Amino acid sequence: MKYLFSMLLISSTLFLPLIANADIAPDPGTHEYSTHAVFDNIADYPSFDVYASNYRRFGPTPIIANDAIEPRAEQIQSNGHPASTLAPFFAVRKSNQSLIVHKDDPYGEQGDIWGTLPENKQYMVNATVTGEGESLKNELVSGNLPDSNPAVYIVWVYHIDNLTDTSFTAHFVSESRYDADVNLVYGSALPKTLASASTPTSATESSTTVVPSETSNTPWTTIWIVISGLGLIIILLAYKAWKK
Amino acid sequence: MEEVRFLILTIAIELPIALILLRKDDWRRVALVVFGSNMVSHPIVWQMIFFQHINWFLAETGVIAFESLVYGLIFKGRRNLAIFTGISVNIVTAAIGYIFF
Repeated sequence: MKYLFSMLLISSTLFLPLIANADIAPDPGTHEYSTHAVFDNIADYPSFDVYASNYRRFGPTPIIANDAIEPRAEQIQSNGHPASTLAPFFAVRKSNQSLIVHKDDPYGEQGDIWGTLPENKQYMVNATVTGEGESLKNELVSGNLPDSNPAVYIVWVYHIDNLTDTSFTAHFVSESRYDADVNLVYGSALPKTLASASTPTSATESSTTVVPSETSNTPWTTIWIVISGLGLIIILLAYKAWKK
Repeated sequence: MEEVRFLILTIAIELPIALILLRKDDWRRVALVVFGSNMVSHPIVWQMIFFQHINWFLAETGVIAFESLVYGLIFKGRRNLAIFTGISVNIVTAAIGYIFF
């Protein structure tokens, strides 16, 4: 009885606050977006950058996008284009295509990059962050980064499903960052297909790399099956060795 | 590698708690059960949460049920305490995982 009581006590002190918090922060990294509901519910996602327009943007940054406060006019007057100072690109899957838009260019006026992504697959996006001064479109299309800050590659892994014309579910899986020499500076190392990418020379290379999850996870799946098997053997040994 | 780090972290948290709660049992046996049950459940729950996108609470509840069963099965003489230990250690790691990761 005392164990049951202790169990309930521990459950109530640990799980109840989590359950109470569940409507504010849904499953870690899993969010359902609606093109119309995002702004209404944006306070529900304080740690995610969410933008809803004709296209949708999202990302693991504490920035809330808002057209009203975006200093687009000032940026255009001073720089000739929306700046791109260490701002992330966002990738959104639409139908069977990916759309890469810039944080400061939500309508894609400076050029968007489209690529084909496999249906219903986990995929990775290799995005590049550059500096100010050069046309964003030129940066993206030509890979010419004459006055950029040191390039940083941000790779976010998402799984997107339940995609309709008005909503989708994005499951954020992980984030990794590489410096200009493709050295890992943050997050976990990614498969060599991404980590070994050289400095981009074209729009497609600079912005999108598609890696189906089945390819990148196959060795780990095998390793985990082995680990699970070993665990089962250990449990059986513990059971048999002390069986009376 | 992240999966391995989390597996090691989980065991590092659960092992001392289990050793304290089951201190009257053979510590080697306790250690084996902690290692074994986590080695079985961790890869499965990882796959469930990150690749099959199963609800986190559901996955963790499954882990708690499975590991408690293992604890109860192996520590027959002290079944209630064993099940309590299985539930406790997993609630602690689940809560830590939820809050910090």
